[in-house]
Amino acid sequence: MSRVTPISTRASGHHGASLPPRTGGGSGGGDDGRGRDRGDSLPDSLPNYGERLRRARMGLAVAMTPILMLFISSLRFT
Amino acid sequence: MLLFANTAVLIVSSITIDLARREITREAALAPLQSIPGVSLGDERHFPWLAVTTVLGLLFLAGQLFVWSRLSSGGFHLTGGTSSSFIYILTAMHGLHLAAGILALMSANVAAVLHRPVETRRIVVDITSWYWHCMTGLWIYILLLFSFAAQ
Repeated sequence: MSRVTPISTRASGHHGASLPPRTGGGSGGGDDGRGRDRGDSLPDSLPNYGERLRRARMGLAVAMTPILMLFISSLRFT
Repeated sequence: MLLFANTAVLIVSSITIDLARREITREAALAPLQSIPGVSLGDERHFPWLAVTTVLGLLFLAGQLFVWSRLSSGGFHLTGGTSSSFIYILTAMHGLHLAAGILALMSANVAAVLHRPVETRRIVVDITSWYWHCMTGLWIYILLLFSFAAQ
């Protein structure tokens, strides 16, 4: 006899292999030393993404510093 | 008046690019769910915030060129003196940096059209949006600078 399972029940994963196994462990386990950007709320299946985004933001901050200094130093010419 | 209109265009473009950033962030967060059997995100229509931002950026640059032509026709030339040269050079530098931001936006648009990975697109849009906000802040600073200098 077939049984219709509501999506909310299927999403919990308690009634069978509806969900693929999580990679990288849960929130407290599977610590592999990789920094995770908490502000992005990304799943563990994308381990390099948070680090790539963080490096890109750091690069932008480094690149913008001389530009901002150049514009702000123009205050002396007014 | 033209300068304030240009400023309003830039502020609106800053809002639209932030909306694009939030949309791509949400898309990146939901993308892994598509691999789950039985889960569908539906055929969501996305508003082209990136394209709107690009258009507004180009509109700003066109407005700047128009302001320069009006200044030049009013006797305020690039070689008219130290102060006039300073204004032209400062606004030109800002315009060049904004043009670089527009190129980054266009690359983000092309990446979306070519269906690049959403993570890669998100990085491009995120960095470009923060860069754009910096450019907007710089423009407001330049405008205030000129306003105080004129008094």
